[in-house]
Amino acid sequence: MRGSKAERAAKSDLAKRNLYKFMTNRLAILGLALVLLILFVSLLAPVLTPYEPNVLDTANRYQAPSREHLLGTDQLGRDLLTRLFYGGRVSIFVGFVSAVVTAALGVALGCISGYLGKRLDSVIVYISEIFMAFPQMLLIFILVGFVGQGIGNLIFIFALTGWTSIYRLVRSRIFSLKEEPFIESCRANGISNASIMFRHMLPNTIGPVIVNVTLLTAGYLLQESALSFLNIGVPTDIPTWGNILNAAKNLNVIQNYPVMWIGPGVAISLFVLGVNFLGDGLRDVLDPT
Amino acid sequence: MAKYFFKRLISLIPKLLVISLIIFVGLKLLPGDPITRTISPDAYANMSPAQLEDLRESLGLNDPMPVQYLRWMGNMLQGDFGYSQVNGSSIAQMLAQRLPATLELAGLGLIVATIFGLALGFLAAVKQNSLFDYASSFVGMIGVSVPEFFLGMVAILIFAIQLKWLPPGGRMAPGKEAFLDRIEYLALPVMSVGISYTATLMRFTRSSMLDVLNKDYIKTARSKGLSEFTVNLKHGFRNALIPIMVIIVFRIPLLVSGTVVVESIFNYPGMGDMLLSAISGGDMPVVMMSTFIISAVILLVSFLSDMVTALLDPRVHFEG
Repeated sequence: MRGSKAERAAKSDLAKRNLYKFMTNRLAILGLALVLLILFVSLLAPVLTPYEPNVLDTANRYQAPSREHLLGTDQLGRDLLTRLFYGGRVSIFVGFVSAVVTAALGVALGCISGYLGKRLDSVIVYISEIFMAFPQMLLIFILVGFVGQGIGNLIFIFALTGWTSIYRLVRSRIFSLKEEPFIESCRANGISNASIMFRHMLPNTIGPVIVNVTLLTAGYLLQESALSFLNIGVPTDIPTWGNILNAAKNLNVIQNYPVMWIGPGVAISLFVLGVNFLGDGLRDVLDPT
Repeated sequence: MAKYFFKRLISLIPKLLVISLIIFVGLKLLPGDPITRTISPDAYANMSPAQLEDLRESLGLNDPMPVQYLRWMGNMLQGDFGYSQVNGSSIAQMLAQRLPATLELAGLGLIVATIFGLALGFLAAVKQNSLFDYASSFVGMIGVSVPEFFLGMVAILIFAIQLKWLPPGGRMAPGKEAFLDRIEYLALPVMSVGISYTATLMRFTRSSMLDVLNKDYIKTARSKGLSEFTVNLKHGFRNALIPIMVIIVFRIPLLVSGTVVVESIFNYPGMGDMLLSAISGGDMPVVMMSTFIISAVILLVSFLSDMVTALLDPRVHFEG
């Protein structure tokens, strides 16, 4: 009993120290605030704005910013601020879910490959090397051509093409953990391989994985908006930041209606900036090496 | 050195083979009659079903897959890349028109970004915690976070529309095709392509330099009375470069995807434009072949940068 109590005390001490370290990192807090603010505004979109993101109002096309439409309206008379809020929902959803699915795939393969080793390991390593030989964006292009556009398809494609970096990270960690005495003792106690991999080793690799999920979210959000901007990402009838920018892709709009595209551009940049600051802060705490 | 060079060169072959195999399987999985991708559509339209069957036999489309693969590879080595499914033009010709433009844009972006990234990162590390250091970190963070296409649009608005210094898009004015005449068209796209690469490189250079400057051999060099300039550049920078080269190579594929996006904003007639219209038009043979060529170019470039790294690093033994 006493041992576990001391252990808990030590743990909470570490947690406290880590929390303190994080809270005193000004950039990380700034990043967290930015991300939370944008998340909050996106989630509360139906409360914050009286308009619907997809309702056309052709009488009010290309309106300049006014009291009714704080950012004006687009080429179909839709309220831009509303579309910006709702667009954030989809963009952030795609970025975050893709990052989580990618991490799950990478972690599972990394554990299996690192712990079980041998033939299976060399096969998975080889597959990952092939994936890395293709530029990810081109692979995404091919896959979009095959499976078509759509939110689900995009998440699937991102995970399929992006798992290699987390896989390599987890695999190398598992490799070094394998030699630790506590794993040996697990094995001596007859604990099953699956349990050793996922209950005893995985928690020891989770810090860097969390950092990577944060940074991947930003990366995928950027990729989604690039693809949507190019008209091959999320279908155009769903508002995302990239799709709003896509509508502005001609000289006339760039010159005469800058509000139409500066809003989503700034939103993407701020969110990614926030996530990057947050990720760097988390790295200092969770992955000191 | 020569031995090391050839060994690395040969190690490219299996990678290329695997990529080509994937592309080949992908092409075979495509729906539709494969014969339309091997002959021009005009010829296809003028043939009877019996003639088509003969042609299929003579073209070897009924042969076993491995034989077909080898023949496909052979054709490619002779410059025959098949035909577009949509407008029937030869893919080799399409590539010949578009690839140089993209290589020019991506290559210039790479060179400019490498020079700026290394120089700024070096200065930030040498003048650590100075105003310059903070300013460049800040700009670097923005460079990593702002998407290329948004930056390109802002650049068009400021430099092309408001200030009217540079053209808003295109590759050259009619009749003026010399490189010097094209520079004004390249300036904004190269900047948009290169900015995030510059920012990343700057951050890595800074941290790598700081790492090296804390090493004992730097103290030794200083205590020998060498000038600060010699210590930083010859002892510090040269060693700091080695891990950075890895980053340079690693980021090249991202540069390519950035190029595709930037081409679309500036109406730049390169591979990006061609790829995008091929994807939205369902022209998969064009998509796959372009991908194959781009991947091959990237492999080649990373091979070359590996060689540069080896030359830089006195610890790499060429016998190995």
